[in-house]
Amino acid sequence: MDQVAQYIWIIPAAPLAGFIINGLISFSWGAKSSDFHKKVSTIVSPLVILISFLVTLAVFIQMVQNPETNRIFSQNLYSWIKTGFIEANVNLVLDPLSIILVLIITGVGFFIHLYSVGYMDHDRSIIRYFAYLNLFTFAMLILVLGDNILLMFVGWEGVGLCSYLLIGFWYQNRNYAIAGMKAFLVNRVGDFAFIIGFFMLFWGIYHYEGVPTIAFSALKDVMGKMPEWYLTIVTLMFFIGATGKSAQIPLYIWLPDAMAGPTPVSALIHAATMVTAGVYMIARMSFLFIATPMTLTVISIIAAGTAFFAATIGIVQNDIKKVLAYSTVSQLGYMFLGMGTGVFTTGIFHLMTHAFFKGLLFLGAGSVILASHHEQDILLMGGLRKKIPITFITFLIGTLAIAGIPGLSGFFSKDEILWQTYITPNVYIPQLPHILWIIGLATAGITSFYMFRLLFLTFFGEFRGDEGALEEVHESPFIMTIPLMVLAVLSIFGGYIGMPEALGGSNHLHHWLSPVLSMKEAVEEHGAGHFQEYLFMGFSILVSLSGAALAYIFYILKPSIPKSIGSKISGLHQLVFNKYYIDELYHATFIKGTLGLRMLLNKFDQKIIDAFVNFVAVIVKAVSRVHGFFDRVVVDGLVNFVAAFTQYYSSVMQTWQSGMLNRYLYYILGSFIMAYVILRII
Amino acid sequence: MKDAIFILVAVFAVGGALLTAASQSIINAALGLLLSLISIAALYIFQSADFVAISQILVYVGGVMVLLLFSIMLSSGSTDFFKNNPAMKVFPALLIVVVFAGLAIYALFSANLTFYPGQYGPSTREIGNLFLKDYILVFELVSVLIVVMLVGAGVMLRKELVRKAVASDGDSKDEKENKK
Amino acid sequence: MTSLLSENPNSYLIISVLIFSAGMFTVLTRKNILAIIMGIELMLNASALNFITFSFFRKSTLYSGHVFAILIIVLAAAEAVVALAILLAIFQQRKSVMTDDISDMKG
Repeated sequence: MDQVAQYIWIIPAAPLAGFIINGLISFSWGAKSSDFHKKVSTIVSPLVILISFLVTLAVFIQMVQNPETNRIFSQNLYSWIKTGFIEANVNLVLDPLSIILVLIITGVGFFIHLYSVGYMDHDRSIIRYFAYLNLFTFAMLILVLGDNILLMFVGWEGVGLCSYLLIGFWYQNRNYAIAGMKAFLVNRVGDFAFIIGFFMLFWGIYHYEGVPTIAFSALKDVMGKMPEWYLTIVTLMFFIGATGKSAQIPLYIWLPDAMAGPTPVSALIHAATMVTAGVYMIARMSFLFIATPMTLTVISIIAAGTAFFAATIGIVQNDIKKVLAYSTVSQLGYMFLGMGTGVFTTGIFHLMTHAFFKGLLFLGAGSVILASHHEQDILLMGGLRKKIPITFITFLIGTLAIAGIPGLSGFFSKDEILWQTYITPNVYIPQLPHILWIIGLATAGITSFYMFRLLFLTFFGEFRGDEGALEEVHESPFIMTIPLMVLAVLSIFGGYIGMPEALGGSNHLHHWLSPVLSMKEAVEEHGAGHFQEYLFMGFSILVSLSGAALAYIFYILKPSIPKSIGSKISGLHQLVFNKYYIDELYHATFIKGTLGLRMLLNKFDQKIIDAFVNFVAVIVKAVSRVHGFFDRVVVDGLVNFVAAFTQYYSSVMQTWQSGMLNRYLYYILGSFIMAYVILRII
Repeated sequence: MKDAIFILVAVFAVGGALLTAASQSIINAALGLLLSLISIAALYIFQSADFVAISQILVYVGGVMVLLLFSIMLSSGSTDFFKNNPAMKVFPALLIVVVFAGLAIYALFSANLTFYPGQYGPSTREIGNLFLKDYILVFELVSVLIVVMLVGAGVMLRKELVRKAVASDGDSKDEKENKK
Repeated sequence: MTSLLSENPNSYLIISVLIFSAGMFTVLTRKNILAIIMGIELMLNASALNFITFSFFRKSTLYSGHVFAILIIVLAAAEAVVALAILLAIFQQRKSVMTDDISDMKG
């Protein structure tokens, strides 16, 4: 064990300390906090994340130097639960998988904290904001670092809580507060499945494996006796949990509403880190998922559906953050598509690049929103590129990255996923890989289209807002543009660590992760060698470029086209614009259903339970009347008799209690002498 | 010679006690008590109990007597200085005391206890050993008791507390009178 | 057993009885609380004298009797302090230290 492992505890402890400091300031002074408190808060919060980041970096450097077999650092803090069969420790583990996540959380997180200092500068609750943000970082680190499912679940719920708190951060606005609740409730559904999943897993471990541990590192080597059908249910439950947290069909509906929170929050929580928790969870438990091809198939189908579905909604959204939110849902679908192939590195790779470019896009959007004085409707923007050049250039880089333009990070990760999807055979449906590939490719085109639409509407053309509003548009302060630039650089070069061998890279990421992930061997050569891979890359480049070109034609050359198309297929447009009425559908089924059930129960209550209660009441009343008579005559009589008896005799004894000390002594002595004499006689 | 001194000391001890019991003046009673206590210390010395005798003189003569005398000064008016120790119903008390003493002496002689001649020697070391070994718990309890005593005596004589008690007592008396 | 009175345990025990009786008589007859306290002191001393005597003449190598005598002295001192404090408090309140004035506990 290396020396550096004993400092792992600092990584989560630093944000926790930040949370405590900020929380205490916010709790003690609240709205009355002065500029000094604010300054302390804005310095402490990024600083603690920086400390975590530096510690992680130190561990990372040590890890790179170590041989492949010695890259797992763990620190056991204390024995948490030790009961009967289950044994869970608070054990923090940094291995090649978790360190990538920790680097993203602390690294990207640090820049988002920095950005927040500028973005939230004028908000009076900034200290509370930073307290939540630090708490979120802490919970997310626990989620990632935890070495067993229970500890992971602590983090899992912790990030859910922080997500709720931050979505509803401006709770004075009723809609925002409702959005927070919606996120929390929808997550509840997923978490419920997650809980069932790990309870079933515990039982399975107990029943089939007989190993008294639930730590990932130990389980990995001992799993094997559990039957596949049981494992399939377990992993499906886990996946449902992941659909809640990572916004997949059918539980994705909370994520677009989550944009009610401050924009840096959307960047950190709802794009870069928390929503990828599901992907991480699957990678962490890859040894379970790889054994269940059925679950992987389900994941692939749902993921492809989500990716395509969310992308189509993204086309018609007009709110800059909503577009990005649907884009996030769609990209998360991509990640799950990668996980579903069984080659888990692809998903993790896309997770990483997505954290860079989506974080960048959200921060850019925040910068745009701040620049145009909290205007979020892109139809009221336009031509902003000259006013806010830094934001524009970084946003452009982000757009190029997400659209899959060659040379930027998004291209590599997306292409990797598509390629693996195509070549990984499916045991249940032989045609499935091809269908999924086509859907993925189409999604890539749509992604490119709506991202360039966003870019063109926002930064090009004529300004469409109010007169004079353009004059007030101004570039964001330095502290906000630096994170943009850093993330832009990462978005460009972040992809090279996972560059496929076909392009002359060596796919470092794959070799880095393969010791800790149980997965299918990534198929690099498949029949025709690299030729097929080049061909597919060509396809996806073509699709991306055509998406961009279409957006250029529609929104720069002929702005009238979208309108005419929209009116020609107004039904479809309405359908998509209203997000396929999924929210309304859920409202009509689950919410109305619950309310209806409530009414039914109410009727049942009134008609049957109340009647029964009244009946019981009548009987009790009759009985109590009889009892009351008995009480008055017999019991009271007895009590009064005892009282009278006591009173009579106490009046006799009263005279003995004279209150004179001397007389008491007489009693003592008299009884002493009497006792002595009687004892002598006997 | 030893017996002569012993008889003298015994007379002083009993005589002081009787003076305490019989005197009309509280001051004389206190002086009788003092005489008795010193004589009892001498009786301790006759029985080789040097440490106890010294403690008796230090604590009683040095502490308790001074306290008693102060209390007498503080609590009595000077006018009936020699008649401020009234007695009541002497005869029944005398009767019961004589009966008690008779019984005690009767018990002493009828019990047939076997005695051994006492041995003289220093006792302080053994007392110390006993206190810190066998009776350590008692020793600690006594120290707690002394602390409680100090605090209790201090609290009881706090001016405002007494005044409050006086005030509330006055109120309750008024209420009683009103009821009557 | 020598003929000396001072080496005969009975003489000490009789002195002890007499002092105890005198203390008892004091407590029985006096109205003044101070005098009652003095009586109590006398009785305590008589019992301490008993302890010493029995310690000396029955097990003269064991000193437990001495320990109890010392404990009695300490207790008597503590009792005297508290009793006198109570007495002064009562006196401040009622201007009297006679027991017939302080018979509130009468039933």
